[in-house]
Order: sequence, then C-alpha cells, then structure tokens
Amino acid sequence: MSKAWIVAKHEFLVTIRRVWFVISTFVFPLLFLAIGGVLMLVMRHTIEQQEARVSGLPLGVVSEWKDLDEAKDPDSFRILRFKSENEATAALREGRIATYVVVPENYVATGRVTVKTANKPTLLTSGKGLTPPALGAWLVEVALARVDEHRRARARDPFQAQTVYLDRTGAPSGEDAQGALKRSITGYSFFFLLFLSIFTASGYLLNGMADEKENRVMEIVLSSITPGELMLGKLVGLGAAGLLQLAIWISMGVVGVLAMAVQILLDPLAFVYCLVFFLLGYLLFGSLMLGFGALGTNFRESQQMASFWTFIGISPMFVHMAIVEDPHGLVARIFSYIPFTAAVTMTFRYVTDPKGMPWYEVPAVMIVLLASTALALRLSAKLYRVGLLLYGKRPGLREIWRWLRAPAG
Amino acid sequence: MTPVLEVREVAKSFGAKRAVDGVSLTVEKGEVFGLLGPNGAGKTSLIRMIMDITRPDSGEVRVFGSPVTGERKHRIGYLPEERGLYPKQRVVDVLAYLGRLKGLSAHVAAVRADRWLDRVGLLETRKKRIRELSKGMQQKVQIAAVLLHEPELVIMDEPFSGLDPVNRALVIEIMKEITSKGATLVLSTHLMDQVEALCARVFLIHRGRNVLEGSVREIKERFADNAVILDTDRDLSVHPDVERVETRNGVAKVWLKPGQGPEPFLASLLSSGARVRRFERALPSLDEIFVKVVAA
Repeated sequence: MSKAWIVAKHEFLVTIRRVWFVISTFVFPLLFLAIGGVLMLVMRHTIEQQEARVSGLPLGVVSEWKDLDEAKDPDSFRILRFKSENEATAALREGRIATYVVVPENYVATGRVTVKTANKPTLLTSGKGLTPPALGAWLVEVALARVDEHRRARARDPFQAQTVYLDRTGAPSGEDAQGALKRSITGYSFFFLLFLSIFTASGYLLNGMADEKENRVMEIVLSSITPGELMLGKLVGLGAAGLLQLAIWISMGVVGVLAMAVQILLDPLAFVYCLVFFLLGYLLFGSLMLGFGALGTNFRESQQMASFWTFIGISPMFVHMAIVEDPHGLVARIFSYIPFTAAVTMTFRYVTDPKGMPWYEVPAVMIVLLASTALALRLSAKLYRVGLLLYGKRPGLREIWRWLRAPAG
Repeated sequence: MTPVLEVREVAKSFGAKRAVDGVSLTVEKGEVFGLLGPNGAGKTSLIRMIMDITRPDSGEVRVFGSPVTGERKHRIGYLPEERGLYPKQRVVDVLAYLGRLKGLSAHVAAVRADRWLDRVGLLETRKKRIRELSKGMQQKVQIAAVLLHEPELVIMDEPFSGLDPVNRALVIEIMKEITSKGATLVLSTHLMDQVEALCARVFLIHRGRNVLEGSVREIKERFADNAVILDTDRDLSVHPDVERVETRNGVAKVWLKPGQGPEPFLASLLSSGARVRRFERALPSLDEIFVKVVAA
C-alpha cells in the first residue's frame, strides 16, 4: 500500500510538471475560447456585410396591387418604386438596388409576393431574410388601412403568451425557457468537461505505461513492487492529476462562460456529482486502458488496443440531441445505466434538470458504476500483470480470453 | 546456515512451450554464482520467478529462507536483461524514486543516489535527463539503481552488455567490492572469461533444464582431457607415453595415452635431462565446456 502511494506521488508530480499538462490545462481552454471568438467574429462580420447589402440599398418595389401604389412609403426602410420588373431588373444591374419585391394584383387574396435578388445564397446567410424585416409590417399596415388602430396592433402582434412551467406535482416550477436554455448550455459544458478530463487523465495513464514498456523500465520497477501496487499507484497519481486539471477547468469556466449560469442556476451538488462521476468514470476507463494498453508492445499498439474504450465512451455524443431534448427520457436513462456512458450522461442530466431526476437514479447509477469499475479493475489487473513484460509479440484474442479467465495471481 | 537463495523443482510453461522444467539450485551467502545458458535456455524466465515477477507453475523459490514478498524484495537488487530508465526524467530523480520503491526514506534515497552516482563517475550528470546520457552511461546509472539500497542478494542479467572495457573493469571492481562486504551475487552472462574471473560456482541451464552444476574448478577437472601444456626443448611425438601433440607458438598441448598420468610423464622428462620451462594440466575453458554441453 505504501509503495502504491510512492508510485502515486511520483506519477502525480511527474505529470503535473510536464509541459503538455500545463499546456493542456491552461492554454487549450484559452485557445478554444480564442478560436470560438474568432469564428464568431468572422460569422458576425459576414452576416453584417450581407445585412448591409440588404439594408444599405433601398428595396425595389414593383407593385401591381393598387393599395400599395397609393400608400405612403414606409418609415423604417427606404424603397424605390418601379413601374415594371424590367425597370427594376435594370436598377438591379446598375447596383442601385440589391433586391426587389413584386407584389401582384391579387396579393390580398393570395398573400404571395416574389422576391428577386442579386445576392448569392451562402451557408451563413441562407437563413437571413433578403428583405428588410419591417416589410411585412408595412404590407399589413397597407392591407388594414381602413381598420381601427387596436385591431391593427393586434394583427401585427397577435398574442403575448405568458408560459407557466409546472413540476411533477402540478405546482409552478418557477422555471422559464431562458433558464432551461442556460441550463442546457451549462449541462453541455459539463458534459464536454467531464468527457475531456476522463479521457485526458486515462490518456496520461496509457502514455505513461507505454513509455515504461517501450523504455524497458517495467522489469526494474517490478523487482520492487507488485503489478497490483503499480497499477493502483498509477491510477491514484494520475487520477489526482486529472482531478486537479478538472478543478482548474471548472474554476476557469466559472470565472468565464459559466459564471452567470452558476450564480443563477447551479446546484452545489452538481459539482460534487461532477467530481464523483469523474472519479468513477476515470477509474473505469483508466483501468481498462491500462489493462488493454498493456497488451500492446509499443505506444501505437497500446493506443490501438485502448481506443476501443474511447470509442464506446464517446457514444453518448451520437445521441446527444435525444438526451438534450429529454434529459430524463428513455434514451437518457438507458445511457445512464450503461457503465461506459453513465458518468457523462448522469452529469449532463443532473446539471440540466436536477429537479426532474428521480431521487433513486443517482445512487442506482453510482452502484452500477461502482460494480462495473470493480469488475474492470479486476480484469484489467490480470491483463496488466501478463501484459507488462510482453515484448515483441502482440497477443491474439484467444490468448487474451485465456488470461482473463485464469485465476488471479 | 540458511541459503540466500533456494530454487526447488521450479517449472514454468508459456502456452505449449516449457520454458523452465524442474530446476533446482542453491546459492550460499557471499557466493558469486554464475547462471549460464544459451539464448532462450530459460535463464530470464527463471530469474523472473526468483524475483516474483512471474509465478512458477509448480515448485518453490525461497530467498533468505522464505518466499519472496514485498519486504524481502528490499534485500534484493535486480538488473534485468531488458532494462531502461525513464528517458524524460532526471538522473537523480529516477534513482531516488527507485530507491524509495526499495524501502529507503526520501532523504536516504537522495543521499545514496549521489553517493552511487559518484561511485560510477557520473555525479556531474545528476541533473541531466536520462535521454541525454550515452548508452554506457545509462547502463552505469542502472547499476547504481540496483545497488543503491545496499542489497544482500544481487542478481544481474548480462551486466556487461553495452559497456566498454574501462567501464567493464569498473563494474567488476564494484562487484568485488560488494561481495567482499558480504553480498551474494548471481551473475548471468555470456562472457565466459568474466564468469571464470568472478564466479566460484556455475549452473548451466539448457532447454529449461539443469545440465551442469558445480564449482568452476571441479567442472573444469571433469571436462579435462588427459593432456598437459608443455614448453620444452624435446621432440615429444616420440615419447612412449604420448598419444598426440599440437604445437602453437612453441607451446605444446600433449595428449597422454590412456592410463598415463601427468606426474610420471614429467618425472620421465626431467630424468632424461630435458629442459622444461612450463608444465601444467590442460584444463578446458568454460567457453569450450559450454559449447560441448550445449551441442551434446
């Protein structure tokens, strides 16, 4: 036990002093933020440019509808009236307008207008209107010219709903759509954070072991310590390093993006669960990666052997929309009870909607996770023991199966 | 007195291959014991079982009178054949860590790390990273790591590989130093001249089995032909006791006829007035014995 502690301390100190640890802890989050920021800027700039093209030039109007012909120009945007489409097209070619709208004679009956534009549809702007947003209001105004003011106001803005969300008991839950959105974003952040930290920490584990194998340090170390102690020490030491990294990320997140959400919404228990689920998830994946990674004879092979588990760990990503939409629905619950996806799914569910979670689910999932982690540790310890001194030849599936079934020791 | 190391009827198979097949051996305190064998003979498998890195399928290993467990490993130093150190870490940190794993306190491990680095002439590299050292230097750091905790039993698998003659001499000097202080040394190597120079007793393992065991002198006697090495002025081929003569650089190896002893032969030479500048039993080298046994 005391030797496992020596290994743990050594691994922890060596890892947190690594340049890569420092970079991934402090620089990566900032880098991601910076990339995100730059992308946002570029997008906004592009959209603004597009909008400037729409709003900078007057909107061409070709009206066959008499009422519109006689109506006064709108206040909120400039228009240029044309007698015919040919005239409007000519103006378009000359660049005096970028878009014109053709309002047919039977507009009141059909509501149909044609918008013609010289702008090209693009990915970022395809959702944006090519006409000034106030065009609709102007047309309504003209159509309702002879109707009284109140009715006109109602026609422009038919109703203002006040939504009250009820909880399971039927009492108002005090939530609102804005809050739910913030919660989803927070849930997402935790989801990624947890995923990232579990796999970063297990990655350190895998790297360290492959390094020891490749550099033939293993046998020297094993002359002082049992494989079990070595594995335990590594799990604890690198788990602590991962926990430190997660804590730093959370603090950075709290200071940054999450600050608002945390103040308003986050249950302090969410942090506790996040850390507990990190530990369980890390122990599960970490031990599997050590066990299976030990079967590789160099770093690349170890990574290949371990990548299977990473793939399984990522799987909630494929159904994340279903989990986001209904955090306590069937899909979310199934993924909560699959050990490999339990940690990230549960953290997401709890952060997104702590009140909606049945009380028994957190302890139930923790028991499932604990049991499967214990099993994974046992199996991996066996593979680890035989795999450590394996040089040169990678074992086949049949051989791995034989080792897994062999009694411990 | 309890032997330092006892191996009793130990067997180990890997799949269908029987790597070690019922081997028994005993090493007494203070001995330098040579564990020999061709490549793939089962030496490393046997050593790994002695170190409790792998477990035997059957049989038993006892060190200092009991099975090898955690605390007992503190009294053993092991230099494996497959060896290396953490390339990205500093020399002194690696040594201190390995010392800690052998039960030394942090302080003692740090002090001993410096002392042993000094002993192998690498004190000035203490703050360097392992990967900055040459292969030979790394080898010496490994030897320091094995001896840091002052083990009573030292097992070294091919300790001379990768060392130049100067460093080889240094390592031999260190080996003699630790055994003179009472440590027991088990040496596995292909360099038979080193075995002859260092080991009192040897054990030859071949295809997982013990094929030869005993003191170096006794084994040489056992494999010796009825022959002498002789430097003289006489033509020996005509002597009645002589069966065959091979001469190289003026020194003759003389095979005597069966039943003829070296002493009467020397007496007859001297009584005939021959000048004899050198006369000795022709004993085979361990190298020759090794090849003979393994080829058989």
